[in-house]
Amino acid sequence: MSTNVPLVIGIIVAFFVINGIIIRRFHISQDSVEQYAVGGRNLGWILVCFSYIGAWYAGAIYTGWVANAVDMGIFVLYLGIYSIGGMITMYFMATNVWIWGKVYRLTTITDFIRLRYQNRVYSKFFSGVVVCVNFFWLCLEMITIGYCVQVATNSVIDFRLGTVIASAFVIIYSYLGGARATAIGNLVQGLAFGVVGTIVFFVLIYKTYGGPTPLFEMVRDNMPEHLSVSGYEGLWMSSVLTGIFGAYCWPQIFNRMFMTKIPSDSKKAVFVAPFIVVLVTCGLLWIGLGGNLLPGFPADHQQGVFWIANQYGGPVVLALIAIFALSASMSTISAISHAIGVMVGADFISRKDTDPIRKVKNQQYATLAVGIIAILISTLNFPNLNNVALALYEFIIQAFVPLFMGILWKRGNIYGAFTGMIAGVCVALVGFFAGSAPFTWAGGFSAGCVGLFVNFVIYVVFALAKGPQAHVKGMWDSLRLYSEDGDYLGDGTEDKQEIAKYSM
Amino acid sequence: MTKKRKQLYLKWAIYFAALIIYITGVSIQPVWDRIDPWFGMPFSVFNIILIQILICLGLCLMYSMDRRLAKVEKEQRERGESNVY
Repeated sequence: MSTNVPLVIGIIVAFFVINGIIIRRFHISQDSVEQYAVGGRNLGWILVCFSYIGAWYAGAIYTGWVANAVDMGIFVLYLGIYSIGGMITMYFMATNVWIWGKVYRLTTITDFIRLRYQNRVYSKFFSGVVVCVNFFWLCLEMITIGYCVQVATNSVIDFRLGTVIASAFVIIYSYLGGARATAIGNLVQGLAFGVVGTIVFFVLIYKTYGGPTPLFEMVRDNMPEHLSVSGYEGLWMSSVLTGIFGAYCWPQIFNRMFMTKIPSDSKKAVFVAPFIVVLVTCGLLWIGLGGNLLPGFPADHQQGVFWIANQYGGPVVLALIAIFALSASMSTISAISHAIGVMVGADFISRKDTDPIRKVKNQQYATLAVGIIAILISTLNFPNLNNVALALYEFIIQAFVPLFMGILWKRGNIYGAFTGMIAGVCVALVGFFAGSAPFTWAGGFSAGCVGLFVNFVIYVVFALAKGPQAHVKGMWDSLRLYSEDGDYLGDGTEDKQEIAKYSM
Repeated sequence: MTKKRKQLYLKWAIYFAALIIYITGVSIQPVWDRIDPWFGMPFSVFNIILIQILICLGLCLMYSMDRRLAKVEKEQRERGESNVY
């Protein structure tokens, strides 16, 4: 792929500089755990909305998903459905999560699990599962960022160098600026790939195919099977469901609900995020649909969108596409590294009586350490990491039952949560190592979905049999302390001792 | 959460549950095979877009109703009707 490499590099560098300047401009001192972990619970809805989009949309959609669009057709549009479907689960959880976060000073998903189920072993197990799964995605995104730099610069910058430079930039601002820096970075990056990117992709569709209608006609005439998902029924259903249920099990997505000023700010994101998601998904993935029919299309389909940009738009459009892909990767890397760092710092390094300033330092160092280890692993170029990361979805969705049910149903208890999640993870493990063969009876549903069902049944059975835990009444009583608009409704007579007992 | 808000969420939960069942295509599999043109795109693609629009509109409408309810609750609190919750 021949292009004007210095121009492309110049535009990419300019984008990094703009990111750095804006993040620096809004930086404030990180002097408390709440400030570092959840931005002082003071971020506006626009910041949190773009932070959701940024954390959710991975750079891999510009490489792996486009390649899937080329190979599998409209199957990949499940991405858009599950992304906005995930917002449904957010909507039902947001108020309770925000109020408990405020009352009990929760900052992470495991803080919530510890509060809700009051079991140290289970919260460590839960934390271990989500951190491990998330860490694979962090490495995958770092590899993607290096790959994008390499492809956009026509291999002038090697993927390892690209990975190290771009990832290090992100890790440094996440380490220094915490949740606020990741949210502001996500806003800049989300605007780049969400708003500007959408326009560029639709322009590219017109330049490449003559518009969406000629594109679909071309695909219908030559590859009609690419316009149907009927060959993938089971996989399609599983992909949509795991995405919807798994969306808010990711710690970097869940903790967005703690960051807003008032509960309804999280919900307000529904006016912007879903529409951007739909446009990004359609614009980007439709381009890939007809890739196979373009003369000279690269054999490595992951390069597809970059090749189309260069071929039909020139070096400036190529640089823009690289910026969109880098933005998506950067926002995901910052959100994941920060979320893992905060969880590791809080759950595995600090104790409840650790000095608050020390706690912040622990979380900062953990963020840095997680980032450095991930960069080192990413440069080793492990084969099949992409497949492993995707397969790990089957594990993360097991967190949905204790999380979602625990938020909305008082009767759920530690017995059901622990045994259900272990059972679900075990079923997912069988699928991970033995493949889909043991689950052919499930009508195409994946091992993770079967595990989720088992998990759910066990949770409900234990909830009905053993009833709620003693401390849960206090949790539900505390929901009366704040309104939807974040107004304090208490009269000062709430049991402050009990609240302090369970606070983080 | 007030009783009215619980009722509101229950209605929307039913709407979204129905939509998710539709999305997964359990009951209407042939929809996904249709590639006859609808608004310049194959019906299968149009169907996916339609689903996304229904989710987006559902979320926006739910938020609007939620806000209206929050306003009513606030007015009730200001009038001293403390048994809102």
